[in-house]
Amino acid sequence: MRSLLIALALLTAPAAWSQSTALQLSLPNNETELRVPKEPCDLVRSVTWAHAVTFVPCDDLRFWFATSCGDEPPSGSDVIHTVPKANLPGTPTTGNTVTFEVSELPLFNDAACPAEQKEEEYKLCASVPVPGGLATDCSSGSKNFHKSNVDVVYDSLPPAVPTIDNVAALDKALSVRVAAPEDASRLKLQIVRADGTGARTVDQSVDQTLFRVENLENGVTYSVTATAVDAADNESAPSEAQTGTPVLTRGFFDRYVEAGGQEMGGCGAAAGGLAGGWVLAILGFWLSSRRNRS
Amino acid sequence: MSRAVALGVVALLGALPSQALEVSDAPTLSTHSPRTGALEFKLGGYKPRIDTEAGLTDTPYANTFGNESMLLFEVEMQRYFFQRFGSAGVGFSAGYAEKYSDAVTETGELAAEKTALKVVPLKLNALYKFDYAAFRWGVPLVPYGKLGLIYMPWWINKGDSTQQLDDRSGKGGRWGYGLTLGASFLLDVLEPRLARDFDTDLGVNHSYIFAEWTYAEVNNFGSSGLVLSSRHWMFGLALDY
Repeated sequence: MRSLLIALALLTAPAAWSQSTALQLSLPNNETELRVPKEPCDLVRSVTWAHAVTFVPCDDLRFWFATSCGDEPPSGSDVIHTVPKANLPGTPTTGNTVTFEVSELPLFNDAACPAEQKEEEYKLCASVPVPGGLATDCSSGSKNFHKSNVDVVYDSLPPAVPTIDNVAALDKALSVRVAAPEDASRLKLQIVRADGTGARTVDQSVDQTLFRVENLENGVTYSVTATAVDAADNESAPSEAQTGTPVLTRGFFDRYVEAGGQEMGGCGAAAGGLAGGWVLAILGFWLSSRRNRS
Repeated sequence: MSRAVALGVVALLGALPSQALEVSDAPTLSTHSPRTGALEFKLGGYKPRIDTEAGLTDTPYANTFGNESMLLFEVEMQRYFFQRFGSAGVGFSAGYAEKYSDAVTETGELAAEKTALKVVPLKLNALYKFDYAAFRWGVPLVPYGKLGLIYMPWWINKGDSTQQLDDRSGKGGRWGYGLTLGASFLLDVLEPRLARDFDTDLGVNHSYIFAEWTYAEVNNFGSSGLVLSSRHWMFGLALDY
């Protein structure tokens, strides 16, 4: 009896493993959701999928959008991609992609794309029915479904407006500290001369809220505004403008040179040669004295 | 009173077995691992004598950094070549020190960015330690001296970059020499058993704390330029291995 149980456990273990890994949808960088921007509506986004189906399944592999994923697409829903069942065993097991356009999301079944001020969550579902048990039984009561899904979010809500906390004047540069809103993933800084010329944009991750804008002109006043950008590339309205004027500053080296210091920099090669000569002379003297003693 | 004497006798009798172990004539093996060198970790205040450079019309170091010392951390590896009447050998040390201050504007106000002087002292020393008395007679003090060459890379920052003024580079290296005199206190005398375990387990023969004074002339042997010479104290921990 115990041997029978062990044999059963060994037989069912691979089946359980294949159930869990037979079909897998995934996003780049192990992200947990795919955020889709408001526009352009024909923007194509892709999701990677892998499978471990080595035999002809009961039906095609299908991909569709829904608010929750079942075994099969609900009647009336649009299937965005299909892999014919005869082709699935020959399809590469990894690195496959399913693509869709922003306008294919269910939100736009009844509404025009783009939609303003919306944040809608969907699931991209994938499912393929396979025979159940040990036989090739595809009857409705026996077949199993290999399924997977990922979250897709249509996000047309821009992040809150960031604020500029501080603009510090540096030598030919400005240091700007920005307070980022919670839903931002990047910050953009727009710098322009007070007369409206020489506009520049600096873009960095929200992890670094301190900007150092270089190659500016001392004595010229610059106007600085910041915007926040979220993961779906929605950009906030610009912050209130702040101004800053780079100034000439003097560091320790400036003060040393002004005081008449003679240092020119460099590795001191001449003195190094002198020092090396002394070391070699001492070493030579020591070696010769040892030889004389022996 | 008689009870106290009785307790004393009992204590003495209780101690006898351990005394017997210590003076046993049974053959014993030396538990000391071979002693080949030392490792030193030290910390101290280093104030370069930049303002003593000939021809300076002001005191730029004091004006910028307020005449304060830099915190210098050094690690030194030593190798002994002679261990009869004291220990003699060579040592190589590397360290790091930096000092930050606010840059100033042309009107003398404090600017929003920093300026810094950073140095990496590298030293090659011949050394002698009079540890004969410590190992022979149990005197836990070890005076020592070192004499050697110094090479000190340095660089000066303003903001987040090294300063460059026309044809002058704000980084370089200066050569020099130094003499160090110091004294170590042998920690083994405080916890002999722990010291033995340290040797058995990690191969550390002896541990010391020490204080040393350094006279360093780091000015490219008298040529013009930055004077990184100093007279400073360092304190640290030394491990013989």
